[in-house]
Amino acid sequence: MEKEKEHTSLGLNLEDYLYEAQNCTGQRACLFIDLNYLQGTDFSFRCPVWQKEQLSAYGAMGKCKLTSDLLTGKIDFSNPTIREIAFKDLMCGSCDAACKRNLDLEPLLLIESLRAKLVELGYGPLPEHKPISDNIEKSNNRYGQDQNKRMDWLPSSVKPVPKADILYFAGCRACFKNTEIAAATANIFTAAKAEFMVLPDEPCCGHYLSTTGQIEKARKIFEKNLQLIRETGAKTVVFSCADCFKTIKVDYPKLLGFSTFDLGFEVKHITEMADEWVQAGRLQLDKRVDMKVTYTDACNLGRMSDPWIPWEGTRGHFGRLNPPRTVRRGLHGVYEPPRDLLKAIPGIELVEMVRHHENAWCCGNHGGVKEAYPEFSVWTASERLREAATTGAEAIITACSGCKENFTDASQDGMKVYDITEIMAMAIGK
Amino acid sequence: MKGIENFDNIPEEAARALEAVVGSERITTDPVFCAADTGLGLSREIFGWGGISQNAACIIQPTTTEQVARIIKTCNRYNVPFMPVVCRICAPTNAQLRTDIVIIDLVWMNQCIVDEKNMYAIVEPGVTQAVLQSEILDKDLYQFICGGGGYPSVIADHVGYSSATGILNYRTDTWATRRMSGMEWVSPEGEIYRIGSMVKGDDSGYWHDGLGPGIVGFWKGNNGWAGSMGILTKMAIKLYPFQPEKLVPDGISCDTAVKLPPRVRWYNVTFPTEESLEKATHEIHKAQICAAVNRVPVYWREIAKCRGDRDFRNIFWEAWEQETPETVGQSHILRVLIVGYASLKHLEYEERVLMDIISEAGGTPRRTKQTDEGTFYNPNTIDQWMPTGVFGLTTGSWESERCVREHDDIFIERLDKYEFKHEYLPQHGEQPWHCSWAMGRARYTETHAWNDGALLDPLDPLFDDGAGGRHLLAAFGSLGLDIIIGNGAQDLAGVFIRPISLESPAYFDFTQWVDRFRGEFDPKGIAAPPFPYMMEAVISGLPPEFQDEFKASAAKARSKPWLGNPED
Repeated sequence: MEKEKEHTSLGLNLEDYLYEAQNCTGQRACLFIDLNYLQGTDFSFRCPVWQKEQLSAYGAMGKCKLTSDLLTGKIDFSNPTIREIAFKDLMCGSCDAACKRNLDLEPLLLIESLRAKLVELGYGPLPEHKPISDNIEKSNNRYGQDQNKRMDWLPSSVKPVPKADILYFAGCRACFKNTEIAAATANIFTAAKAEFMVLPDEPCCGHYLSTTGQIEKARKIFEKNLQLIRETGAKTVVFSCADCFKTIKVDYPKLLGFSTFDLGFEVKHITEMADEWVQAGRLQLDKRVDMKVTYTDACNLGRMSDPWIPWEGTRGHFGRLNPPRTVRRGLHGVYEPPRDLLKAIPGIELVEMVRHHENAWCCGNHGGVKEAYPEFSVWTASERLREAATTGAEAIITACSGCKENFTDASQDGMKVYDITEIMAMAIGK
Repeated sequence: MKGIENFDNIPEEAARALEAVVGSERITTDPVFCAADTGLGLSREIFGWGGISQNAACIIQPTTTEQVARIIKTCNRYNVPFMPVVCRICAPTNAQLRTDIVIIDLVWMNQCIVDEKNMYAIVEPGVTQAVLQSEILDKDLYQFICGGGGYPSVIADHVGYSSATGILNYRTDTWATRRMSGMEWVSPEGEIYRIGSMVKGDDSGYWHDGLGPGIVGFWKGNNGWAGSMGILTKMAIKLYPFQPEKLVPDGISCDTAVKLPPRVRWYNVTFPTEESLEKATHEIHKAQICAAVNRVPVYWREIAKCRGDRDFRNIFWEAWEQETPETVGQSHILRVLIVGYASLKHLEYEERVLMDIISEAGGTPRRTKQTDEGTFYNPNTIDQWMPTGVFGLTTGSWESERCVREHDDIFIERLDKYEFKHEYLPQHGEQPWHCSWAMGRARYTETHAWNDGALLDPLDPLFDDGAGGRHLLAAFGSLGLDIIIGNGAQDLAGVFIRPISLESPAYFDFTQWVDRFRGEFDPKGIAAPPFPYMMEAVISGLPPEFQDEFKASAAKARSKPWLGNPED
């Protein structure tokens, strides 16, 4: 009876999640927002793909059951329905935060591992993921753009320095598509009198590759990028993109086998940094911005950004883990700094949607879903905009360029969409 | 994929006819989708192995009562059995035992209409307990939340095995039958009936059964069909007045709670002995105060500490291993909820009465956070149920205070002598959890003994192929059934052999009673089988030595009337 089970670990090995797959209780906590936050029938669900497809297979509980069937040979990995279920998942981590309200299962890691396994076996990624993946590999950015134009977003009034404690990692979207976000961020640095540097040839963070299950390709990019960042000597790397932020904070350590705390530098989102500056009196957000707004928590900035702590050990008698494992529950996400910043701006009236903080509804632009299932992606964003409209807000504010992109694509009823850096830039008079 | 392309497990004609009812977007015969929807929930844990869950042949998602009726008629026409499903946690909602069934997924029939003035709600099957609660708390009304969590369907909870019970039943009518005022029922043959307040058509007012014998109980679990005789597509539920101030949510999962307004207050009270706790409980009942009354076992306190960054399973074990029979024996905690339903003065009055009772019984009020995690919305239960990875050997009973205490004593005594006790989490002398119902006129109690999930898992290195049978037998056989003999408490295990809450010897043998109705309404056996039937089929799959012992226990229990029977 004292015999320990075989070795297991946290990572992206699907076999390690058989226990999780078989211990889902089917209560559907993964589908509802935290029940204490319910405000009626509408907006009570949290899982976009399940609500859209309306079948258990698309929810985390169904994926647990299917993973059990896959690992025990009852279903073959080559089944096309399995592929659709795995790759239609937004990888937004909502089920994960919900599951850890009660159970300590790891639905998100299970789904990530399932994607990785499908790619390993040649059943993924989907053809629709190929263009962006190729761009990243060939051009170092997701758009296949000329890297020489990567810094074109930089306002002429802002001068990064060659060496500073802060490294600003802008990310592909802010460099090539939503350049207003990068420009606003640079203006915030300047307003706070914070010197910052940028990478001379900033590469793609590799988020797209890891989230679409292309683990080996991602690992190579992660190793290379990590070396680049470490060589700058930066003490803090600041992001305006939630995807880059989470990838470097969580996925780099996860795939490279160490803890977030061993990255060698601090990882911060611009909202965390700016909030500190405002509290220290270093940044004044004193220009009036008259607007009733609601804030949408980006998945990668909120519930998915708990630090990564590697774990390996055994699961033994009564399911007990040895050594004990720290569970990433989404408790340490960047939730309050964006709200504090918005509240600090005169004229801004901040109202909450029903689903906020770790219960937030995903924007739909995640996990390669926008490319493979564009209609579903936009539907997901539309649902969020519908929720935002019920608050009476005239604008939805996000802190992720991916969210801004998708809300802009979905917005048809006049709801304005801003990145929080843009609002802050208004408040500093830029 | 959605639509019907696979006919391995269902006749193509039947699938086509079903598709014609709902359209191709609301039906699938894809084996992967069907596999994902079966074998979920507690069926695996309770019964020890996943093999009893059979993949469905088809999943269909109606949106109206008329569609449900047409689906059932189609199932009858092609002799295809069906199973209604909303929440997947409970065993009866899985595709057990019967192969090639049609899962009728009612999640998306989720309309909820609240009549604030007349204090009732009409709900469809997809409305969950917590969602209904959130709809009505805003209107200064409340209802019970099932002890099993806020996720189940309101309708299923009222008619299912759980009997729609929870700690808030102290003030609300305890029995589901008394809260169900009307129903829209699609019979196993596909006919639509409206019962109780719904007969009138305009759904106005609280009407219950009207003239003649009460019939809503026929649908209710334990003494009815546990929702297995056709499908209830609407139910009118009685609601209860609350107080006007809002319960404000706070915190991040897993540390969320609602902040209690001034007129809602929790009190934790420690007592020097179990007897003094019982005395206080009894006096609370007599004084007709409080909104919920619970005894808090030590393991609850340990489980309650498992929040935040810590790993629940490990934290629980570390804490529990520190406990001894001595430490557990010294813990006598009562947790009571007071609500100032009428006013703040009402709360203050009850508070003064409570303090007098506590003082006279030698109790000491302790500091308590004025927040609530799990009473009003109840997102918080599975962790309590499954710290070993499986549903525990739980004996539960409800009856008078005297009766359930005796029942608990017998259970604990037998568990102590149980040959395979080492397969269960050490009890450390733990006393059962109990709560009061119906202002103390009834008591509900549970004693948990958690089995090691690894022993029941065929894929686990620790798997023991006899453990499943032993666990089943322990839960429902030698430890479960035997203890109701001569005691009279309504034991959870007893639902498999006898009706509960039917206070007449005429209905003594549940299976015979259900057989009569089933023969009348579902002669082809197309509807989901009632829970007891399923249980007997599970037993029939056990090794012969377990079957014999279980049958012997069942026969003993059947052979004797219960204590409450005046003819005994």
